[in-house]
Amino acid sequence: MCQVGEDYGDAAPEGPPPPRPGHELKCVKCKEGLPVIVIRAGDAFCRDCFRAFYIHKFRAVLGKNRLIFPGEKVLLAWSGGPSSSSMVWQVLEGLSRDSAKRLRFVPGVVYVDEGAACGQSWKDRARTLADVKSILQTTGFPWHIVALEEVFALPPSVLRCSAQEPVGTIGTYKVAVDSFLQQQHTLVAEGVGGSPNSTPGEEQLSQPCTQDPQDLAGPPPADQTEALSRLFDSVKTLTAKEELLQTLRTHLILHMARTHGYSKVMTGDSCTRLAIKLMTGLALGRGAFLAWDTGFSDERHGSVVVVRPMREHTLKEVAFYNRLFAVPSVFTPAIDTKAPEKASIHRLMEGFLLRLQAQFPSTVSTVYRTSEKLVKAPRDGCASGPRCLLCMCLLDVDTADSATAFGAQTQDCSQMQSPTPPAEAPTVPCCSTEVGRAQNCFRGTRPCGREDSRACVIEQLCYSCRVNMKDVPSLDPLPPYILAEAQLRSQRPSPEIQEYLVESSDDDVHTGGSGAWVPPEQEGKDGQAACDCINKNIFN
Amino acid sequence: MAAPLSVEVEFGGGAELLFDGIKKHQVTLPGREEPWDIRNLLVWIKKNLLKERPELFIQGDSVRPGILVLVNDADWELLEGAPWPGDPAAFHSLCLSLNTE
Repeated sequence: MCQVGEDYGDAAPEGPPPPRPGHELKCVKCKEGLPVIVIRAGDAFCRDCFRAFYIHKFRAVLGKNRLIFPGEKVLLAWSGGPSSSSMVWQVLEGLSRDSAKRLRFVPGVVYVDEGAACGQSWKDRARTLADVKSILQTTGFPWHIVALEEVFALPPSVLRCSAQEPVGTIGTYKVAVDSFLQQQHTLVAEGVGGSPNSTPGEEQLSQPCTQDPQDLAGPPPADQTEALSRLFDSVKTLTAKEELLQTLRTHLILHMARTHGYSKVMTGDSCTRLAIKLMTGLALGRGAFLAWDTGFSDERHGSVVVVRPMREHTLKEVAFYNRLFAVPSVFTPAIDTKAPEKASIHRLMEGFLLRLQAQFPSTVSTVYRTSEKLVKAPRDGCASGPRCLLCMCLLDVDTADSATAFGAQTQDCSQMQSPTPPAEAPTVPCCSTEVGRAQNCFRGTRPCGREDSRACVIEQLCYSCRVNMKDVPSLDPLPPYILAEAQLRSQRPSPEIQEYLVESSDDDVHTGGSGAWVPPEQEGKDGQAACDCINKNIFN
Repeated sequence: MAAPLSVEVEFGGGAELLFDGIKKHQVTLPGREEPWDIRNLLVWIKKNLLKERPELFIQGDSVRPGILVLVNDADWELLEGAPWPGDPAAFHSLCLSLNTE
């Protein structure tokens, strides 16, 4: 193929088309039915075999990973789009089957109304919400509708990684399933709980649906809507807007899950979508976090684990299934609806992958298989450390490494902040190179200036979030919980320097309200070396 | 000479946005020399039905990658090579640029 002298000029733009099955073909599985869909390269399935295949895939993904324990509360994140609608429908069907193969968790559904970020009027949003509500009611699950504006009322605790429960081993899973089945048999034997197939969870389901007390009877507060529009209008590029939207949506869903006691969140990301996400992530500088962004489970939030059960279904399969079996979905315009192909990195990558897929039908599955091989190994073997303020991944920044392009970037950043350049450690944004100047440090009691507060937030972000923030000229429109948490974290000493703190306050050193700073050696000519030591420990 | 053909054409998955939000169209295709097939139908749609942003629907003489073509609720790929008898056709978009996930 790639030979010297080969003329690429007249290579057919379409490339060699994959062999197409003729219409006389039968279903590859049952060999009888008339095929309705071609999956992968040339496998034609009839309607019933396709349905069985689709459902089997969903349950196999859940069963293989064994993360969802019986009776566990799982929140389904529904966007109204085809994949998440399909997921909700699969869960609905899965819960209603015969007891042996039934899904065993307790679902709830959440829908986030993002109309304000897309510039929709309340009238349009209300119309969409009416459709959404009617579909949610037919599912019979407890449902919650939240407006994206509610991010302005989130507490800073949303950004904290809460204590992670120990992940069960396979042995634990089996034990849990067995005891659950035992419990069911006992209930049946005692004649408790109505029908033999009901479980405590199902009892809950049959009760009238609970909904959020803040259920949208009317529009959200106008000032919040305006604040959200202002935030999204201030962002310069569509790429940054999409990333910001995703971040805010994640925080909101996380908060909902924690508030209502859900320990898992299921999102409807399909195979195609995850392949695009993987490539986009690489372009955005999220290479270090791909395993979490595209894997089956994402445990970065601690107590709430995000799970992606649709990750083996391609968008084509989803679309066909929804159409053939009438899965209801709601069309909601997104922030990038009808955006041209080069409007954002996400659109570009989507166009690229879909085009490639049209000619080489194994593209998406190849990228997907690659994502399966990504390992969630902590960096340098340290599993704990500071986390990004926005995406909550372990920070991938190596601020001491000024030889990298990234190090040079942060050097520029820091030199913008302090009026006189710091003596060394160029990545230190605050002027704390000398102990004596700690009084003027923004960590002190003096309120942060605008530049300082921006630096205060930026230094707590991972590389890709920092790059995104470049397109956000002012951090003021950001929801208050982000700024508050950033402030809180910057004032808290890192665990490493806790060992340097002593009880009594030192006369020479001004504290930041968080204990006395005393360098391990005396000040003076050793003070510099001591401060290097402290700074290295803080920023490494 | 093919007689005028009356067909039902449907757009889904967000593709209807490009057609004034109308999902189902009953159209009458004029008579022509050769029998109609999907490609000709596409050209006709582009000329007569498509209201905006042709590049989000058509690419060259075929649909843009990411748009599913269904004939009688079956994959168009199964039909490839065989003549199109005028069965209801549907175009379903998979692209995120036209719908959420």
